[in-house]
Amino acid sequence: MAFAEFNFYSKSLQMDVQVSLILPEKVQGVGSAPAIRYGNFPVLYLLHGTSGDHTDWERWTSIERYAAKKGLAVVMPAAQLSAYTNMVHGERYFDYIAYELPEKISKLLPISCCREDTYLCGLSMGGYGALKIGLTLPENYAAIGTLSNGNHAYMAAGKVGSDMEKLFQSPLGEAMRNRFQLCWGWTPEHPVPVVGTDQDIFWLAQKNLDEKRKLPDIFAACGKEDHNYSMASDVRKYFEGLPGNPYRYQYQEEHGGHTWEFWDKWIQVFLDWLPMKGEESPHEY
Amino acid sequence: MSSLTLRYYSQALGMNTAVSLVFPEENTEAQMCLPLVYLLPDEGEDHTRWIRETGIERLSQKYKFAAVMPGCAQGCYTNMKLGYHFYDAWAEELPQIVHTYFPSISSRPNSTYLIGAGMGGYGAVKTMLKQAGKYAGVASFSGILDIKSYILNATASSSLDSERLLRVFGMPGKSFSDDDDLLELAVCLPSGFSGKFYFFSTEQEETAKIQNHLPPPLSAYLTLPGNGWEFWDHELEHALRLLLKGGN
Repeated sequence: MAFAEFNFYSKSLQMDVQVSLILPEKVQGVGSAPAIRYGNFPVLYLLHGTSGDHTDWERWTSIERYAAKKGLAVVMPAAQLSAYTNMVHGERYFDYIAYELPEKISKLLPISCCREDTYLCGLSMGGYGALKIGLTLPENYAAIGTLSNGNHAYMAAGKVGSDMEKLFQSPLGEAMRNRFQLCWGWTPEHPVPVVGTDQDIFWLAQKNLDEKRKLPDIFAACGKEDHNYSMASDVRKYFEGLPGNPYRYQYQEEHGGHTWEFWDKWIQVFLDWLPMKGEESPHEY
Repeated sequence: MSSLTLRYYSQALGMNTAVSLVFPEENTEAQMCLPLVYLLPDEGEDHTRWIRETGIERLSQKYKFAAVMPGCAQGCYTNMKLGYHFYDAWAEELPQIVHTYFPSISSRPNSTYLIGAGMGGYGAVKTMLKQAGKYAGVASFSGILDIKSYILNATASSSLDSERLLRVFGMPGKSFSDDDDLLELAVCLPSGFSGKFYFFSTEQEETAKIQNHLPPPLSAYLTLPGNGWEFWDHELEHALRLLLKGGN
């Protein structure tokens, strides 16, 4: 695969941004097969978690090798600690990643504009972001993946299991706690409502059903020892409780923590699950 | 404005390589046909050099073109006698990569230009001459225009460059190909050729060697006060105006 770092000035964020791109190649170096589809690429927007940036997926997994088999272009932006929101005290990351970036990418690269070729996935905070963006714009994505997802609107409201307390005591805790104030203006003293708004994935999912909109497929996975396990389970219960499984929701779990070992494995399962056209490359060189 | 570093597998080289691109900020007008300027760096320099040494990104915005900047490495934009096929990688393969991945960039010859500095000037002029009709104009900054003399001078003085130059080009009179000689290529220019050549140089007499073979209206000599990035950066906007706007 060809790999690119793309630099531009984001109007939504009013600052310079970096995006990592993976692009299928007609002929590749030793060890990988050529792309099965060349030009008009199907595209996966892949979102990082808390503490991450646009380099995370490339550095901590072998996403380039996995995407090569599928002939899939991968777009990996950075979102700081925004939880992919238009922050109350911060930048408009939702607008950047849901609107500005796809428009920029579709003008820059030979990316398919079909909904059937457009996918969204993320881990942890990015798992929440993928659900929020995909459920807000269900006509734009054929499928959403959410790995070890948080359920940040409920986290802010304190409506998640007590295992979060342990996380807040960890070295990442202060940034996590601080984020609720930055994203939504939420503090323990002034708990602004986030549940039941467009930041709440259940609210978004129900709204799509009420409005009879086109619904993306959803794939979820979480490790049983993950600190997000109870949140991921809440999300699972919600989607599995919807009559007729309108989102064709599929959930899988196994032993594992909130770790790159888990995501490196499950991003591959997600890619295999994607309803992509065509077949995999038959052989490698 | 935006910039992008693309790392890809070059089939011509048989190994990975990188190219830098710069795009102007899109405006509301149709953006699907950006003029394209290839910028070639000097010997031993890579794809980052034009961005680091010049105001190319600002100029891309001002004149609304896409800049594509490959590296030279030590290939002199030439299929080496002993080494890699740098000419094929640069002149044949890279344009295909650019037009495959970046549909907003024009593939029309009349909006495609070449600028090169030092050995990049050699590469740019060679490409213009060999691929007649594919480029609208070329600007050479301190270009090495008489490559045979350059090699002979290097070998006569046993400079450190000479061994490498021989690997790239072979020995004049022996394995050297006339196909790599700009003076020979200029003689063979097809009639009706309409591309423009702008030679920015400190050496008017040296430049005249190639200009004598080119139809006079097609080429111009422009004085450079010195050689090196300081002077090339200073004249870059001038060259872009000449190429893109046909002005002075």
